[in-house]
Amino acid sequence: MNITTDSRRVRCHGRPPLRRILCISVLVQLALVVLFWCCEPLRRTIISFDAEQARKHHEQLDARNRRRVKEEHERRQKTVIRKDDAETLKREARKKEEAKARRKLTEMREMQQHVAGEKLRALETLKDRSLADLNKPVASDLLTLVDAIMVNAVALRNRTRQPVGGAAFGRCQALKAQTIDFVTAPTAVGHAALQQQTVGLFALLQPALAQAAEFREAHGTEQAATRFGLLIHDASGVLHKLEQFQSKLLAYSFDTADLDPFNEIPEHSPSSLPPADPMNALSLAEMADRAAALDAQITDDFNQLRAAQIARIEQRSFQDALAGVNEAQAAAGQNPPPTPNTLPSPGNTQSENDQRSADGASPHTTVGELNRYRQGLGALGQLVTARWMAARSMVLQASPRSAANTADAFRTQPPKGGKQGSGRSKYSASDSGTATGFQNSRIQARTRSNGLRLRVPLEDIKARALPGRRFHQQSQRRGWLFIDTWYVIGPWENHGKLDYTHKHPPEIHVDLDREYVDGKVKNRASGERYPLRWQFIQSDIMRITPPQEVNHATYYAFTEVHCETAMDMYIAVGTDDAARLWLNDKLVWEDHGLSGWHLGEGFRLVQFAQGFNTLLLRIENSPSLCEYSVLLCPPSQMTGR
Amino acid sequence: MGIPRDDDERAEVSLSPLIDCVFLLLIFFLVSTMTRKEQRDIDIVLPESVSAEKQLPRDEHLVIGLDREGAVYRDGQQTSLNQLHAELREIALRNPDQVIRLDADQATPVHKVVEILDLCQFNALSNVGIRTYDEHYNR
Repeated sequence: MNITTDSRRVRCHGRPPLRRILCISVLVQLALVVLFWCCEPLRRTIISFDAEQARKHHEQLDARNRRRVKEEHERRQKTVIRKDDAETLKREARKKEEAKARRKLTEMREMQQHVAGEKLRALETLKDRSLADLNKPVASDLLTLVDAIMVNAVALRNRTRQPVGGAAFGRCQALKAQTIDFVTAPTAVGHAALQQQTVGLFALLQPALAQAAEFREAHGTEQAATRFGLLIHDASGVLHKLEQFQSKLLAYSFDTADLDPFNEIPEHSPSSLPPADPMNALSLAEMADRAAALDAQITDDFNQLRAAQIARIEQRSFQDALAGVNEAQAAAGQNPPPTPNTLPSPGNTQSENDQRSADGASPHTTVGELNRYRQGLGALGQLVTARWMAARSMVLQASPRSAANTADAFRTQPPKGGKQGSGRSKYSASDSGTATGFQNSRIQARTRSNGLRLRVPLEDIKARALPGRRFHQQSQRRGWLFIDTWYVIGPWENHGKLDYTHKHPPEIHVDLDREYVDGKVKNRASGERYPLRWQFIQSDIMRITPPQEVNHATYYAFTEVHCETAMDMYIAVGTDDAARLWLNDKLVWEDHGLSGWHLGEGFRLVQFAQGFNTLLLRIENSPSLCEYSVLLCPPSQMTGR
Repeated sequence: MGIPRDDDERAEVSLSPLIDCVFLLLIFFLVSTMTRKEQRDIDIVLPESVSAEKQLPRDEHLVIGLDREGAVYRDGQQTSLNQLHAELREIALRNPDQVIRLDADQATPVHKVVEILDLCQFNALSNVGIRTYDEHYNR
């Protein structure tokens, strides 16, 4: 140890004294003992967990938190602020809501002009329709009926093996050939020849039918009953269809005077809306009223636009089509407009405040009153927004697609090895003319159903088809894709009858937010109908069953398909039972029978536009299962044709 | 020349530039916060997760909300399904890499969530995340 003594104090350098080390170590040990002693209860405590207790504890905490939040909310509501400040805040909030509503109103006015323009364009296409257009539905029905007559005539010939069956078959063949010629080139001579042919068939079959009935009663044996029973059945079938054929033939018009009611369109009346005045002076409540008026006008124009399109497709008069559209809309009921909460309107609150100020009341107000005022403003703003959204939804569907899209969307190209139609291919897509959607008539759809025959390995498709809705060249999913994602709505009553002329609202306007009150299913207790809403469905199998499947009902399924480029694709539709399919508002497939689901029930080659393509399927269910499937495949990726 | 050691004046930091800097910073933050887009709260209870990736919310994200009744919100404001379809389509055309955050209530039916996810996927918007709540995140 080295000790220096430069003053009175003595400093030690080197190792500390042993006593100090001992003291420190004792202190550290004491601290450790105290620490362990303190931690001992923690070590010995068994942590137990009681779920019920924890739940109660959680509920208590939750209730306490809610109570605190409520108290805090009430406290804030009662917080007093200066009336001048409150007025400033109210003014700012009102200006902000008014600016938003003004913007939306301006857009709605533009939308209204757009829909009105589309409506006028669609109406113009109805003015110059010819006799051929007027007679198209009749011609379509004649072709359908003559097919049905042929089916019965074949049965009559093959099953009865009577000379009258052979003679009737020959006449029916002649009738079919004459019908096709007549539909291809309608003349009065051809019309008379058809009438003469039907009269001849009646003259041939009616006596035979009466004779067969006599023979059946006279012989009385089981064999005779079977033999003549078949003859009676098949001959009656031919005669029944022949009667319908004859009545349709009489409905065929050669008189140009019939074109006047057919081509009649309403005179263009100027809009009943108030003039497009600057909306700066309008209050929020007035703007909500203005939005309601604009919405009503847009709905009216949109209905007329749809009616004009339907009249064009189905070759009906505009008034007839409009009555159908209005009937569908009326039956479905209108969605009640969103009503603001039962709060004092902003205008009233303003005047009340002014009144109080004038009376010299307290110069203070509360945060609660300010918040109520803001909520009232927000509710009025929501009214305008709801109208704007409804109008926008209609405008999106009123806009026609590009001309290229509409002109070629229903181009038919018979596949390799497929058969051509039996002379009805004159009703090509180009006949439909205009570019306003809904362009293809029932004749065209039926032409396709008879014209295209594909030999595809259905079992192979069932095994390999993948779900998908997007198509592009580099896609790893190749071959047949089934559409797995749909919005489905229904059921509507169809009374067990197939009536495509009765349209439901989705056929007029697909609005995924709408709710319809004219559904089929009722609440047994109250007797009220359940509202119908669009339901999202995603299926991992190709056969899709609508929710709430009931007998004798109509359903609609809506989806979209995206194509990277415009492309032709085969579309395979299978439905149980009858169905109609629209691609981009154009009818591309129609089924009239009550057949069960079959994958290859209908094949079409249709052109999909670049971008998004809409598919709307109407399914008619009879008293059995209800299923449907839609598959797509580009021709280049088809195998086994 | 000698320097007097007993000089009373001492060197000190001038406060004026410091106050200038503080005010500039204050103004910067005020202005930058004013550009935040308006957002509203929606009444939802998020599902809980402890393993989710932690990401800070950003204004550029598109927030789609789904409450327990299935009502749809876009950036806190209620919207319709038609409107959402149209907006997602426009967004997909404008910015296919748009980040979308789905805030769904824990009681929202799963098919509603699937519907929104499918809608995003169909519109080629694949940058979608589901927001969850981590109780321990802020501790």
